[in-house]
This record gives sequence, structure tokens and C-alpha cells, in this order.
Amino acid sequence: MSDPRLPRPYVEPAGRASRPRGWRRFRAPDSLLWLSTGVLLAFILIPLAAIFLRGIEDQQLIRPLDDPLVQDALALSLVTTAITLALAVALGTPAAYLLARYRFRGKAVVSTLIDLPMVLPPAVAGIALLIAFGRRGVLGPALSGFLGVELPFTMAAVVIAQTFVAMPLYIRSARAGFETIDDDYLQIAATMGLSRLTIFRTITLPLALPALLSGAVLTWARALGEFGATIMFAGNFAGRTQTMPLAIYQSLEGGDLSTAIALSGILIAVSFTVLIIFQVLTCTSPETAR
Amino acid sequence: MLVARVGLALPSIRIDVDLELGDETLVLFGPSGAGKSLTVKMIAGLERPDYGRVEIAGQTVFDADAGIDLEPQRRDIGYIPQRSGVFPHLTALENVALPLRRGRKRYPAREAEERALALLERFGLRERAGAKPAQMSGGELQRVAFARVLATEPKVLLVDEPFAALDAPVRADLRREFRRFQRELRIPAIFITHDVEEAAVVGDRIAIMVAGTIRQVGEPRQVLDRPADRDVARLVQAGNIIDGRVVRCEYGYALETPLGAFRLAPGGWKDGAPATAVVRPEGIRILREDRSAARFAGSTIISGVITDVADHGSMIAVTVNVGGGSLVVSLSPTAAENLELVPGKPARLAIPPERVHVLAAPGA
Repeated sequence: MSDPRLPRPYVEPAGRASRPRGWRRFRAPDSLLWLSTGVLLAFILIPLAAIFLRGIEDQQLIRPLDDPLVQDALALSLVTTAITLALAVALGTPAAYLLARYRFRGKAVVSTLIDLPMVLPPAVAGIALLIAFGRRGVLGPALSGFLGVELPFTMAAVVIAQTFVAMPLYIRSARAGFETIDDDYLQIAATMGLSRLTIFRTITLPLALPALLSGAVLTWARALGEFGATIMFAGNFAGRTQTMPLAIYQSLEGGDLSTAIALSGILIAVSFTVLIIFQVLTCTSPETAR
Repeated sequence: MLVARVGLALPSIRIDVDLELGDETLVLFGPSGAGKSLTVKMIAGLERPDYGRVEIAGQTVFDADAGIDLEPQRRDIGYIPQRSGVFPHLTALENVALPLRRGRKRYPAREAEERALALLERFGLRERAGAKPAQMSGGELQRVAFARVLATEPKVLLVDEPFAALDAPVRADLRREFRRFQRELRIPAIFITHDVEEAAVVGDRIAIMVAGTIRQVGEPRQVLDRPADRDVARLVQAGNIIDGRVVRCEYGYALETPLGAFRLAPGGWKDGAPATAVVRPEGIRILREDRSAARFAGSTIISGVITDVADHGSMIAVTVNVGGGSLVVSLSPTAAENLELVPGKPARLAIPPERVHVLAAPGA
């Protein structure tokens, strides 16, 4: 027996020998992180899986593809979102570049205005568009009187509603992409004698490409799901303004749950496919800007 | 020829610089925030001066009074910023070929590629032609940057601390390489650094820049040994900066200081005038105890106690407390072999009068 009055040599308890060292000591317990992430995943996956499970159960997943209403809605959604995306890229890229690379008075105001539609409730956006461009709206008489154009309840209205709501996502992402490009690159390019256009084409654009792509995907996805602004401004006319989300809404309202489920399944499949393609694209794309 | 007289007033700094270069490397040396990079950017046309004139190889590229301000694209400059600036989305070959394809002088694709390959070869990078910057080391990236800058056939080279982020051995290699290709190129080059050693190795002349102005220009040895003022002395790590008063004595003049009286070389001294002197550590000799100081008859002899000995590899720095302050002495390891350099031991120092450099403008 050792003398209890003597200080005992410190012996590392067996259980603590493998205690993590350094910063790992300050990590939250791994189990907690996994648990909360698991809950989150379940929260996302269960509703999505439910749609497919119900669809398989009802054997309804493929059938509505023969339905002309569904075909029209799908075609309209694909066409309008493609146009919206093109518009967003064409109009948004210069704006994003301007905001990223120039300093000017009122920049904060411009930036806030461009972001505004993103946080605006879509229904409000729809009403605003209607009051501006509607038949009895602020610009409506001018549009129909001089140009002979009537926007509301047309496919053009669908595109306008989608663009209004979804474009800020592209601009935000593109702007961030342009902002992260190191000035050094552009300055060197200029001293090498490269013209502004060449610099934009060979340096700026490739370096910002991942950000532009991710912005495009976000914008497209947002446009595909657009509901509130579209139904307010463009209405819900089958074959003309009825996009997929509106068709889902109509099916559900009409008590046709199985069609709604089938339509949703299609949308999920399309969105998921695009997301995968995007992931693959950005992973194999060249190094991003420093 | 490069002539740059430029000024720029910013909230943070006021720059007023007057530089004239022949076919030589001028090192722009100074602490960070002195305005070195801004000066170079004004010459490159990346920053607009408030006033002044820039002339490159006989062509006026900027003249505030005449309203001339050529964009960077039309100034024949080669510019390398702090980080190499090698485009990350292009291979080494594509980087070098880009100015050959789309720059001031354009070549057909085939020829551009051949020229680019030849340039990469020159920097020992031919095998790395297909590599992307992410796969290259810092030294390789700088070499690509140099190859690329040569591809533009510049008439003036502007290099902004290109080696600052590299490991010491790589840095030494690249300094040598820079000297080699600048000897071949022979164009005016401004090389920014805040490393004294680099300044001395790379520069034909050194311009010391402090707070937006050039304090002193001269050949490296001259600037190192004869700094113009206290700021410059501190920046070039002149070592011992000693304040005192010039006094007349039987053998001429001396600088009377708390550390002792330092004999001065003959000059137009004024009795009683306050003065500051710089004595470089390598200008002081440590005498062996058993030898007489007769050999150093004209020198100041001061005795003290060694307080610190620091081995820097290529030289040894010895701090000696001489009462009233300390002097730092540096000597080569071979010279140190015969001496007993141990803290606590006494040491006798000899300082030849020509090693005591009195500052022309002592400053603060």
C-alpha cells in the first residue's frame, strides 16, 4: 500500500487516453451534429418521398403525361422559364457587372431596388405588375393604344412575372462572381495590351462562370416554381398561362389529388435532374477565381 | 528611358515622385504604405496621377498639362503585381500565349504557341506547359509570370514585390534569375521590395521611398553605407544610430556621445554642432585581448562587455554594452573563430573614422 500522505503520480485514466487533442477538443460531440443533420434530411426527404410513394400507389405517376392539360402546362413551363432565364442573363449580367466593378452615386439604392423583388411576397409582385401593365393599369392604355400590346393573361405576362421575381437571384450570384475576381488579373490583362472586350471574354467571364451558372440555376428553379405573381398577373388559363405550379393548384382545387401528385412528381424529377447536371458542371469546371 | 514625375493626393497618403531610369534596375524600397505600388500603378496607367508626366522610351504616355493619358493597353509596359497574377483558368502555356495572341503585337496561333513554349523553356518550365496554376508551386508561378511579361515585349518593366510570398531558397533563385534576364533584356525596370537584401542584390540603384516621397537614390552600397537621414538609416538596417555632438580635440574632430567619443574622418565639421552618426555593424572590428591595438592607431577604441551573440548563419551579430548604450557588431564566422565571443566576456572594439557616417539630414 502506498502512503496516502505522499502525492500520487498522475496516471492518465484509461478511458481518456484517446481524448481528442488540440482544436478537436472544442468540437461539439459528433453524435449531436449527425443527429440534427439527420433530422433535417428527414424533413426534406419525407415529403418528397411521400409524393412518389403515393404516386406509385395510385399508379398515377406516368398517366397524366397523356393528359393534354398536363402536356400544355409542362411545355408552357419549359418555354417560359427558358425565356425568363435568357432575359435574366441578358439583362442581369451587365447590371451585375456594373454593381460589382463600378463605384457610383446611389449604388446602394440601385442594389437594393434590384434585390427588392426577391423579398417581395409574390402576390404583391403580381398585383404590382397588374396595376402597372394591366389593361386599366398605369401603362396599360399606352401599351394597348400605341403598341397594340395587351400583356395581362398572355404568355408574355407569365414571362414578365417570372422574370420580375426570379432575376434578382441571378444578379446577386453573378455580382458576387464578378466581385471575387482579383483586380490584379484585370490590371495585368490591360497591361498586356488586351482590349476591354478581350479581357471580359477571356478573363472575366471564365473566372465568373461558376457563379453565373449557379445564379442561372437558382433563377431557373425559382421561375419554374413561380406561382403567386403569375396567377395574379397572368391568370390561370389552361394552354395559355397555366404553368406547372398553376396546374397543380387547379388539380388540387378540383379535387384531383392524383393529378396534382403526378404533376409534382414531374417537377421534382425535372428540378432534381437540373441540380445534378449543375453539380457535375461546377465540379469539373476550371478553378474558380481566387 | 523611363521618366516619371507624378503626384497624387489621396486621403491616406500624398505621393510626389520624380524618377528617371536608363536601362537599369531601380529598386523602389520602403516600408509598406509608402506609396510604392501606387507609384508603379501610375506609371502603368492603372492609377491616374493628379499631376505630372510619364515618358516611356521617348513616348509621352501621360501628361497632365497636355491632357495626355494613354490607357495601360497602349503603354509598352510589363507589369507583375505582388501575387504572380497568373490566370487560374488557363494553363501555363495559355497564359504566356495570351498576350502573343491578343496583345499589342499579335501572332498567328501556331507561332504564338511556339514563342510561348520557347519562353517557358527559357525559365525551365517546358514540361509544365500544360499545368494549371493550381498545380504549380509559387516559384513556378512567378516564372510563368516572368515568361508572360517577356511575351509582351515591354519597353519598361514594373515588378511589385514578386518574391515576397516565396520561401527563402526559391526567392534567392528567382533573384538570380531576374538579374540574368534583366541583363539580357536591358530595359528600364522598377522593382519594388521592402527587403534590404533583395534591394541590394537586384538593384543597380536603390530609391528609398518614405511616406510618398523619395528620400534618397543611389547605388546599393552608397545607400547602405551612407544613408541620408535617420528614416533611411533605419530602413536599410544601418545598425548603430548614435546621437551626439561634434567636438574638437587634439587629433581633429570627434563625435561625443553617451557611448564614448567617436573619431571622425576629416571634413567640414563645426565644433559643438549636434549630429547623428550611423556605424554599420560590419564596420566595427572586435580586437583580440592578447593583441595590441597599435594596428588601429587612427581608430576609436572602446571597451565593453558582450551581452548577446546571435548566429545568423552567414554572419554573427554581437551586442556589446559599452556603458551608456550598446553597439552591435557583425562579423563573419571565420573571423569569429579566433575570438572568445561569450556573453559576459569583455570585448575591445575598433571603429575606423571612415566608418562613422554622420547623417546629412538627421531628421527626427
